[in-house]
Amino acid sequence: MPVFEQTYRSFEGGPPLRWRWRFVAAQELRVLAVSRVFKFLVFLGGLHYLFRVLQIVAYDIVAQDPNNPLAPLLRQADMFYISGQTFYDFINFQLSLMFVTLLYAGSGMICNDIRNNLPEIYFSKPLRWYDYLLGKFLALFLVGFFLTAVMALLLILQHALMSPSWKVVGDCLNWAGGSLGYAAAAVVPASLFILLCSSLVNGQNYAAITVIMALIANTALAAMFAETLRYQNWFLFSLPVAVGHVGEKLFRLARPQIALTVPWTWSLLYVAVFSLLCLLWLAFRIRKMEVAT
Amino acid sequence: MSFVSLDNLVVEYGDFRALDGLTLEIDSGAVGLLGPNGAGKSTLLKTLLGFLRPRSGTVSVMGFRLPEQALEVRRRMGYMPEKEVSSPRVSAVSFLAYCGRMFGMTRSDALERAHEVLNYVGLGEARYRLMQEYSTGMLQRVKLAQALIHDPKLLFLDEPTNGLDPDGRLEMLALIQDIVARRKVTVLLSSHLLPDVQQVCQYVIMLNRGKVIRHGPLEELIRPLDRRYEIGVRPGDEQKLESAVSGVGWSFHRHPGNGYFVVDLPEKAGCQDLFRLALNVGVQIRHCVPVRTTLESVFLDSLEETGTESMHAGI
Repeated sequence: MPVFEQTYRSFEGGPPLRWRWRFVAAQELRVLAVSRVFKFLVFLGGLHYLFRVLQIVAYDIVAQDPNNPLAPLLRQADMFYISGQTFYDFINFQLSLMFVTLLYAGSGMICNDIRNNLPEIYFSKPLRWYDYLLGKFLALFLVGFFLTAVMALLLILQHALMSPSWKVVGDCLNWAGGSLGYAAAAVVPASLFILLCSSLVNGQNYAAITVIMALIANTALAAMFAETLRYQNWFLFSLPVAVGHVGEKLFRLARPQIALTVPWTWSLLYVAVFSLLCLLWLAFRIRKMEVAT
Repeated sequence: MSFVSLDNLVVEYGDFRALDGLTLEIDSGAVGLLGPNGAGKSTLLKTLLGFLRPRSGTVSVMGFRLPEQALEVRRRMGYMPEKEVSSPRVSAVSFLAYCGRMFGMTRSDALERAHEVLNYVGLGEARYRLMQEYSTGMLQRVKLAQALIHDPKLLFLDEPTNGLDPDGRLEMLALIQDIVARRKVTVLLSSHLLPDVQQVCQYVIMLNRGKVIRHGPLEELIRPLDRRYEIGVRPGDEQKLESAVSGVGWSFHRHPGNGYFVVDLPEKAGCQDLFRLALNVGVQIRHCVPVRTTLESVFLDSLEETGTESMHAGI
């Protein structure tokens, strides 16, 4: 008894294909969207966002209302004060969550494909290695960017709209630029490094462990050099410190916590070079999947 | 125009020469690629997909040169790999729709075609289940479906019956036959299982150690032998036939499987002489067919002719 009782229609071919990476990114996001762990992590990010929303409401509406009995109390409480530090702190906190989320979402993105022999299927279709790479990266980048920059921008917009003074709009524009820059400086290297580890090892857990170990080793080495050589600027070689340094400068914090005396552009350059090296290595690995010899 | 054209193709993995000066033209229909493990079958398919770059020689598929126009080739052909493929956290429909999108289909088109093709390969309602719950046979069907999603005119199948139970194997072969007959798709089927190739293909290419050792239409390769006949007689007549045949000096033996006589006629004798002999001794012939060479014997002969020992287990 034949299993085929009906056939399938002819297909004359689609339009010229452009931006095929968007299908890869969309599929990755679709797969992530059904994961409970992923949804929980995003929910945690949302809780922090809601807390900041309440803070802005408290400061911009309640504290500025002279008739409100809570106004004097809120004006005296430092934690409700809105400044560049508020948004920097928001992104800073979100970065930890973003890192965990990216680690969960990205550590299996390539190694699971390899283990399931999917690259052979994908590259037998009109998909190039750079579409695959860009699609995977974009999926991670969007997740990371959503948890940090997008939420920060929404908070800044809320602050600009609720604030009784128009003077705050100029500050808001600066903070928006700072949020975008700081988030990009953190999300881009994190996404690329996680994808690189995923392409190098043959299991999701191994990839996650490799990322964490590399990060710990990186910071420990930077600290060791700084202590041994008694030169604080060695801390620059810790990636989290370099990213934080960039963030502090972008938000023009009055009291920066990272005590580096080198210009912040060095930190930015370090992050950029690290990202570029990850990208090149990743490109080499993925190109090899498409063209083996 | 040939679907696939190879001219002096050489592919190497480091120092190892996987394909050694292959020159071939593959036309439409079902073409079997036969060879023991390590013969170069999968390497040839991967070269035709542009995954492997030839050291020398030229390759063109459907008129497009490889590897320069690999993308054009991939748009027009389907490929079913040998290894087990799964996207565990998505359903077959979602996976196929994703594959369809890669070919430039709109989302609704891709989804529609995914359903059609999954129906065609017989996945039924299982198509909505996550692929991590699929059996090997179901994953094989998904592999075939993803190769058909864009209605290719050329299909590369690498060991399509791997890991299938006997029923599943027959269904898979029936599907491939239907694709060739009804959809007019040219199929290049790589396998080390001779019965699969014999059932599906009209043309056979035999490879060993990266070289073509024999190729031609299946009908020609397993042509009837000129003077060898398989004879079945009325029960009780066996002794009479044996003594008559040995009396005239013709060589014969009993087929170990079905018990028929296999008679080799001398050069000047024909089938009618055999019947005349039977008539003379009062033997009733009830079965008489010319013996054909089997694909297995052709393959083994070819290996011997090229001076290579057989290193295949499943042939």
